Amino acid sequence: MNRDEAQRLLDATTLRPQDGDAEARALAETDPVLKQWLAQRTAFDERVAEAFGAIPAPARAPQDLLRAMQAEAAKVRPSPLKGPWPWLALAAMLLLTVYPATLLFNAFGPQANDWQGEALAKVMLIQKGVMRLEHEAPRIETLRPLLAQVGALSPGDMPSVLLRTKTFGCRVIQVAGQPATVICFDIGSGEEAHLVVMNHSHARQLPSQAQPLLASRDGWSTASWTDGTRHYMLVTTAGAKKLMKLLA
Amino acid sequence: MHALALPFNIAIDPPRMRSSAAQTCVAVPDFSQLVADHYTGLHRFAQSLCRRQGLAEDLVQQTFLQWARKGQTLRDTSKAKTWLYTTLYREWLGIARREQKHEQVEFEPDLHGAADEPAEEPRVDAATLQQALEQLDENYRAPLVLFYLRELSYRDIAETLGVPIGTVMSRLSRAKDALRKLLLQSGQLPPSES
Repeated sequence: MNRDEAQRLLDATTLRPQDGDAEARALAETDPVLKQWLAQRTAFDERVAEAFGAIPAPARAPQDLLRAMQAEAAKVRPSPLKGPWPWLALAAMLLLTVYPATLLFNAFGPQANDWQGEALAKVMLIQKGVMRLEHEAPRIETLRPLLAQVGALSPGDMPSVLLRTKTFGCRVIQVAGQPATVICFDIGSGEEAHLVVMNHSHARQLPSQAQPLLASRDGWSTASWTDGTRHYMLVTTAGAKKLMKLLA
Repeated sequence: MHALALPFNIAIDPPRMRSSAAQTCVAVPDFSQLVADHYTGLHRFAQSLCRRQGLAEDLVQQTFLQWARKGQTLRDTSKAKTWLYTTLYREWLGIARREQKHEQVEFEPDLHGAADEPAEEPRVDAATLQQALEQLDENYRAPLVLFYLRELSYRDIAETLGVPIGTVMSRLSRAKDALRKLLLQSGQLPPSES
């Protein structure tokens, strides 16, 4: 820091030394010219500040200012739901009432838990190429050992048509906090089908492969079943007819 | 020094009497405390900007009413003082713009004499100072008034006026030099201590 820089900093803080720059003050201690200039400037500023304080100005606010402020504040007084705390309290209340109800509904209700919806959302991402396949192979028998290597679920008994259908590959996804395997099939005409294999502990009761539960959801045809240890969901956008053929 | 006889006591530097802990208190200052602490300082600042008593009062009141409406949204309540001065200054800029009386004129040292250091120290009293301040361009008067109020640091002054810190420092330095010249040119005798 040179003298000019120190002078500018010191000049801005003569009346508020607490805001001053330590380096500039140290320089003023060792530079006699700067020290003398600072002493004169500070004396001048002190006198001006004193005179400035003597310029007539009202010492107190008008009586009605506070009343006007109170009235103004009342106009914009926040509603009971303004600010974060009321909303947090409301959210907590909803959590305490709705979440247990949801758990009960999932456990015993007709929809069971929505692992299928979550799995389907991820399958959509895979089909769109947003989520990439981890392993690529044209046959499911090639994919099995790859899945076994990473400890992923592999399908057990499968419909014979599906077993012969060409595959693109597979990847492991997380559904309801648990790993699930997705195997992607090339069913011709540029269309795909996807088989989700999931541990049964997080799924509701499903029928057997012989009588899969068929459904339609968001433009997807789905078929769900269980083999007793795993749950399966086969999905496609190619329509219910093609889905049924795969289940033969 | 011949100080003017005043009918009331003016707290020259009320904030310095408060502790730094009080200044960083997180509680929103109540209206009466806020008004008591800042009314006079804001009024001096407003008066220096508009030079009209009635308008200065209006500016200050408008500033406090703005606080009543919006002050509760201020996250850092230690910034209440800067908020008030900034709001008042913006109010004034709006009025000045409408009245087309606020000119963005850059400082011209020739108008105020050269910046060489004079040998003698100028006499300073309230009346002379007020006249000298009124001769300064507003770009220099505003930071200078805020500086002599001692309410704000130069960083806060920069924030209040919406200009860079370096600009505030330059303007303060040049404005002080110009003020000193003007006070000397007022023709009064130097003070006894010089």
